[in-house]
Amino acid sequence: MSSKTLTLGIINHRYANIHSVKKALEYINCNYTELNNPSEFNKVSAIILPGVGAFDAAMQVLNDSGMSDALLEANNRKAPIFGICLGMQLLFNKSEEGKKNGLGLIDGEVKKIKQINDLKIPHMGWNETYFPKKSNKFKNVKNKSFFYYVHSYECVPSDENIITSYTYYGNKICSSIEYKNIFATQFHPEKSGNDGIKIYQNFINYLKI
Amino acid sequence: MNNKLSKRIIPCLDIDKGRVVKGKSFINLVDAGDPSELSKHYNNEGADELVFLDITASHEQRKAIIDVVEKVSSEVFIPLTVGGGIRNLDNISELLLAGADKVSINTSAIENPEFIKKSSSKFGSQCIVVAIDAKKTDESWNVYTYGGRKDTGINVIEWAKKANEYGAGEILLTSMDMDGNKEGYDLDLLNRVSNEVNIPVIASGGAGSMQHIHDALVAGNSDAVLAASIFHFEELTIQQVKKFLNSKGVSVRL
Repeated sequence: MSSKTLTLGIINHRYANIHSVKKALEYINCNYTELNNPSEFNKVSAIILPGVGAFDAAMQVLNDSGMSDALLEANNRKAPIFGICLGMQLLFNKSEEGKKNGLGLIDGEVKKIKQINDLKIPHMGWNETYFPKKSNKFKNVKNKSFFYYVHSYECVPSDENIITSYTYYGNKICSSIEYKNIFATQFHPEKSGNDGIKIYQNFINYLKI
Repeated sequence: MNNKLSKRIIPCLDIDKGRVVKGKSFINLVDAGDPSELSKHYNNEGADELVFLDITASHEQRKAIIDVVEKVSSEVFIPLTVGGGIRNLDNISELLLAGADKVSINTSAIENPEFIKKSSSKFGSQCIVVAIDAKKTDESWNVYTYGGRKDTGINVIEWAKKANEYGAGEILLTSMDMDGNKEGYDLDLLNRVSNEVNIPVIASGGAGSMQHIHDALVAGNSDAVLAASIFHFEELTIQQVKKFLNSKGVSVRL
């Protein structure tokens, strides 16, 4: 895939901070297009699924618009997919937050963060993040860097081996996964300062390989 | 292993008609009155969030703050909170669409506590900060509104608990007695409020030294500190403060 033909699509499901994601991409001079309906998915070679808000509400928009199916098709043709926060959770089979099925691209569940002692839920703020594996998505990001989180539910993949970073909030929490063409972070790289911008840059660089 | 979130250091910028007021002795900045320049500077120094307080008096010029948020959020990628003059859901919506992550409400929340409920259920608790201006009375503290001009007679502790119940995501607690004195935060006030709510408390008013910031976070039990003049006048850099806190065992993002 040459950089000339690369087009990045951002799914706009109305439950997303699509605005901050766009600004982060503009900051690193990456062209993108917004995806509002399934017919637009053929134009793009990689997809960002952002998200803030509730699981069912976002799934409803994706299903009603036909974008769920379009995303599954894109996955079949191995288009790189980048899920962020709720966008990561939507990739799983189901969530304790809602009744609807998730996209099922990642085997596992999304569970309510266990409230231990006086821990405040949502888990909101900067938390130290551990990167146990080498990954081209985290190039130039130091182990134990801080990233910005805002969430009340956590992803629990069936296969622990796909976890590429984690943090601690009461229990160990999965911060990111990588599985085939899919990459997803629970934290918000677009709100995590200079380290977060590096992750966007790394994702874009990886697409151009 | 770390089970807790890092403590946050938050510079506050007062904005009047789109320009930073109060702070201005930055040697290295071309234009220290430009909110964008100053925000980039603080971001590079390690600020964990930024708060903009819009003090523009006239309604006609309120659009200026929207432009500021729009610009800063295209260049600085940390959470941005905007406060000052927020009256209704449309005001909040506008700011969030421009790139703010949170809004801070004060007078409008006191005058109509339902506004906290409505705004937090529409936009999520995580983006609703209730700001409280507290002034000492004989036994406790009272809430002041209209930029500290009006005593509401309402008890601060009770109000903080109510704001929490109504869906506030954070409390920004300013001690009017200590504000501007540089003699340290009101630790008693911070402790009382922190112990009564289960949402983060941001300490404001009184920062004069690194030790004061440390005390607010540790002895005062707060989750974050807000400071304006000590950073604006480069008496301390955020990096210095964070290194000091780290050396004292306080978790910060370095």
